[in-house]
Amino acid sequence: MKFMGIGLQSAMMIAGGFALGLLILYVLKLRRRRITVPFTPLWSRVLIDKDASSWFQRLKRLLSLLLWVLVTLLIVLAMADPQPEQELERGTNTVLVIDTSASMATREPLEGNRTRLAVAVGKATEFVDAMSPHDKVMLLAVDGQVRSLTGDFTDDVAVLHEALESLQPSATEARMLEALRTAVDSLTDRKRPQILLFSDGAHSELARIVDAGEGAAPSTTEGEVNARVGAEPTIEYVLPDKLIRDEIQFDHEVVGSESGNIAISGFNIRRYLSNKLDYEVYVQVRNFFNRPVFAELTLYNLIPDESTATGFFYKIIEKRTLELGPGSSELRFYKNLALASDHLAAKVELKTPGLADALDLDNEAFVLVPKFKQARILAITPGNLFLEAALLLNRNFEVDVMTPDDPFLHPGGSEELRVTNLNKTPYDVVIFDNSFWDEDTPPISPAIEVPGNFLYINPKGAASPFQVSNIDEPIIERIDRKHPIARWLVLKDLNLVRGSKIRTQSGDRVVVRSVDGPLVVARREAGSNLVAIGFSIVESDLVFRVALPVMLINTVDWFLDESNSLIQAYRTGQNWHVPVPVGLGAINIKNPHGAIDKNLPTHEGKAVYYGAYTGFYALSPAEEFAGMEGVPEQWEIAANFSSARESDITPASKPIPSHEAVAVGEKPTEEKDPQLEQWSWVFNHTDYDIWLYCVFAVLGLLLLEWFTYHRRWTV
Amino acid sequence: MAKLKATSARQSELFDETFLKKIEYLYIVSKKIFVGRSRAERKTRKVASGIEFADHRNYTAGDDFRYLDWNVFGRTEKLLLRLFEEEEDLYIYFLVDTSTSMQLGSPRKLDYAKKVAAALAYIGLSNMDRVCIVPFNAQLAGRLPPSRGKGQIFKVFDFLQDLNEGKQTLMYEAFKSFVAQNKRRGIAVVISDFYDPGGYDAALNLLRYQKFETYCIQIYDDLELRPGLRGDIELVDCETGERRSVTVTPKLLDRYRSAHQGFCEALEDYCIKRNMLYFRTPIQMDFDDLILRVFRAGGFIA
Repeated sequence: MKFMGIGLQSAMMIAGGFALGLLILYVLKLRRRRITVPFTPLWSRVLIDKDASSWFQRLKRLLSLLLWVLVTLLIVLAMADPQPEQELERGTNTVLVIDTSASMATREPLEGNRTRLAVAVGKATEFVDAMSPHDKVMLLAVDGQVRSLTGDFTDDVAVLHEALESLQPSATEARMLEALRTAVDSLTDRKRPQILLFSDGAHSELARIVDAGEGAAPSTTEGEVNARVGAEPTIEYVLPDKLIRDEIQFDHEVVGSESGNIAISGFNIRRYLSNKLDYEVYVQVRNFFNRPVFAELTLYNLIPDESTATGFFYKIIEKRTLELGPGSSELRFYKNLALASDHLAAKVELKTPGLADALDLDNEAFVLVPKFKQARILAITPGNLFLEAALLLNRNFEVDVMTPDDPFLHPGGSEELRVTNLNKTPYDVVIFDNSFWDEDTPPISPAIEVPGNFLYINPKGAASPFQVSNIDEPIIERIDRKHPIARWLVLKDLNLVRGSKIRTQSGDRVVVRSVDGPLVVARREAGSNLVAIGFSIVESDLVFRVALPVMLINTVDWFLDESNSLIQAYRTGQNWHVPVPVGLGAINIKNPHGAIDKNLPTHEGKAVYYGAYTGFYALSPAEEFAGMEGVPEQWEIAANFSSARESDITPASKPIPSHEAVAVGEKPTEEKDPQLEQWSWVFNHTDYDIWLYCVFAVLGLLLLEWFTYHRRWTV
Repeated sequence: MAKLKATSARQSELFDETFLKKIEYLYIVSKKIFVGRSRAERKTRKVASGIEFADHRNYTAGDDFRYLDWNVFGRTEKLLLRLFEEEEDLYIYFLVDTSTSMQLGSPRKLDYAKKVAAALAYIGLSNMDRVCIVPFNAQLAGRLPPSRGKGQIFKVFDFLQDLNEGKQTLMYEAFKSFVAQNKRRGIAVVISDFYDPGGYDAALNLLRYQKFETYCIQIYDDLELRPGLRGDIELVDCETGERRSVTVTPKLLDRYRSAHQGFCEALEDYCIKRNMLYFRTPIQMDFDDLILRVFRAGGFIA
């Protein structure tokens, strides 16, 4: 006997609690109904005899108590849902795995233009309706995540129907292997396990084409073995080994038919290095039809406009008609774009007569352009025209140049400049070129904020945060190409008369290293960003190279956290690590459908969020952090679905191989168990569980109690 | 205030037009019942200055000469005094129980008692008897002075309407006061449920000893005989506040019914043995049926 409901311990605790409660209620004197009578002496005469039989009355009340204790025990037993072990072996345990990835949103003309998911849900519903009362089912939805919609196995058809009806396709890929692993784990120690997968089969995660020429060496990793079917080309399926070994019956129901799709498979934007006000946009459109098609590609700005239903005014930047060959991709660049707003989107529409794009999810892509701000730079230099020229080259910089002995930089300095600067925002970047101060006289200026961004060129002096030691004719040995400062930087054969080896400390990143030691070092310290260049640029031929302005631009961009690389949206179906303002402990995220996830915790300046829909997400500080200094009320991120795997909606030509296929809705023939036969009078002729008999017994006892009470036997 | 209004409304409904017609009808019926019988007026045995000759007796010193029968003296030379039968008014006292137990029932037992008293009082007033209403509970609770003539019936109504709820029933104490205050003997009609913890026998005996012609009208509610009680209950005596916890079973109810029946029969036996007229009626029965039963029993209307 096994208890499938609440555990035995819990059942005993509940039963004990109830029994104790009943006992207390019976021991306690009942508050009797008060009846006013005209003459109690008449009753007194009668009750003289009655008192003599009070012990018998107490016994009758004890019988009533025992009856109620029995009722309680039966109710608890029903809650525990006892099942004979033989009974448990009768039904099947099935995991219904339903693919809710993006490709399942494909509309099927042969199925009344329903989506593949709707078709899959219909078939799963047929299966559920055909379940026997002994069968138990767990429903797994798989897209970018694997979710159990029923919690545990259940035989409640209403719960399963409700869960099936709640399924919606998401703009994500399907993590099919993880889903099958979860299903296999769920079926551990369960009798007659089976997995039914409803999917269009477009998941290359499970199926890999193996080069026939090289042969297919079977690989086994983490308990998985590979099965092979087909001869040309050889397709290798990676499945949990229990499915391969046929310990779990596995059936794959392929949903969907041949249909075509065009998709935006890439959408990126970047700023120009020299002019950050203009952008270059890159759009890739892919044709998944097996014939040439015409498509119209539209690039447009979304300008916030409260008067419209969507909240945006769509300003078309450009429309282009593309001719796409079968299975081919088309790249389009849009150069020197000046954008009217930071919301940018691209949309592709099929324009070939007689053809229909079956999947809409991948027809639109979004990107959010970070706001640009001109950087204010203060260069403190004894006189370096090369540095000034390199800085002034860039239109994105607003540069002030001062000598180290400028009164503004010292106590009691130029009042005029101080007032001028006080009216401006503080400098974003301060460059110390060959400037040094003694420990006693550090630079003081109302326009220089600490923490801030500081570039030290040839740092010297006791007050300098970088301690150096001189080296002669340093030779550059290695550049850390991954660091943003070194992007597009070529320092090959750089001639240096002398330089300084920078003493690094924990957390420093060496960007350029000479044979003798670190030459360029980046440091983040107490909210400040520091970069030290361990040589004087005028004592090198760097001043004649394009590398100097590039390095300066890179350094300023790194300081200001602005990237010249591609500005990409987040990708749906993944966990996003969204940067948040420093000190913000939790945020709220509103997805494009309007649903809000509240109080998402942040860790080390980032919030982890799983996004399943394309579009713009609005972020705001959680209520307890609202109004926090330096935290905007709201900011946005964009998310795109760009998965060639999911956009290729061609369904699998055949199901994933299984050793024993079971048709949908068909139940396996039950074998007669001799042990079970002896219980046949209970179970085989009815489909009721023991808990139901308990309920009947309770009802019977209640009827008996009611009868005996009203007949005054138990009162 | 609402309760007072409701009570007032109930009392005005008590002696309405229909009630008046009904008691008038009863009066006529009472006359028919006695048609053909010699209608003897009530005369006292007291021989005094009436108009109807009764007897002679010897003259004694101090007698009034005017009553000497000179004809007899002329024939026999004996001084004989003529005696006449004196006609007296009949006094009918209605002792109405207003204790708390009389407040129970639907309609209230007290209301029923008021109707019975009013009806009988009307008959009495019509017969030119003197009718006096004396409510009682633990003691006498007021008194309507003896009145005579039909015209006084509205005084009776008003008095009965104003009867208030009393307390405990203590018949003996109340009747003791009654006999002390009313020296004129007559008919004493006791209308009560006779639920007196101290017993009714001493009180009734007191009336009997004081030569009152006693009528006992016992009023009860059928629900008292057959209470619809079930299960564990606490019985509270409406007068004494005494409480009894009891589990009511069908058997217990049967025993209670027998006890109630025994109580009523004991009262009836007591009355019969002591030559008192006894009537028992549930409040569910029409009061005029009771009145007719009283008439048929005789004595009340001579």
